[in-house]
Amino acid sequence: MTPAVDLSKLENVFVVLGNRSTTRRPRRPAPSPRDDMKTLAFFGVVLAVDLLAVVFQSYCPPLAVFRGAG
Amino acid sequence: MVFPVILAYGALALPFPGALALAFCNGLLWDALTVQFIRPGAYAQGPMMEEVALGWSVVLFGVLAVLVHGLRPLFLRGRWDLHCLASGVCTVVILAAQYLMITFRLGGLIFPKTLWVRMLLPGFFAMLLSVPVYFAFYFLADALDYTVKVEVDDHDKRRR
Repeated sequence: MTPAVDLSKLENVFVVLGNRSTTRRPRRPAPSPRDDMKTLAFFGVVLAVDLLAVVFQSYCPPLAVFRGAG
Repeated sequence: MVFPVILAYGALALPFPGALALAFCNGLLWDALTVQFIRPGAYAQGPMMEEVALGWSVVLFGVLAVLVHGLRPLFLRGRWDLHCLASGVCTVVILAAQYLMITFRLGGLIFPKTLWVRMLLPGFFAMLLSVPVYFAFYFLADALDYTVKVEVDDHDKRRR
């Protein structure tokens, strides 16, 4: 049996329209400044690998065959 | 071939601003590496011009990063094969777009048979390359304590 949904609340109307469960999803905690620093550090690592790929493609002769395809 | 693989990984593993920033850097690097100067027309005496103008790839990479970023929720649940697929598709799309830009600028639209091989083969190799790249980044993320995989909670399991 479908549980009754209080449609007086606007958010419930959207939930029903989207055919989604009305049980409230536990919210994930907002990222802390420490998490932001980790994200920034990982972005730096990805960028460093990117630059390393440029250097290798530009100066390492065996890898130069890949240059045409980026 | 390396740039689309890294772009696909960044778009899947980083938050939206990070994905866009990576697309910007990747686009600039790609343009700087592949820039070619030509004279328009066989006998023209005019100034040299770039085959693909600097900055076009930034837009293209940005659009691809936004599209691939949409798969991030699935990627965070452990679908590493999405990176493989996205790498191949990004490589083929970038090469195809670059070829189209060049042919439009030169004033013709030619599709020789070798073109498909030269687009699809790098795409295939990018898919192969994406597997070691994924695991290398996985260990780097682990070393930095950065989360690239979340546990599926009961709420998610019920919705499936």
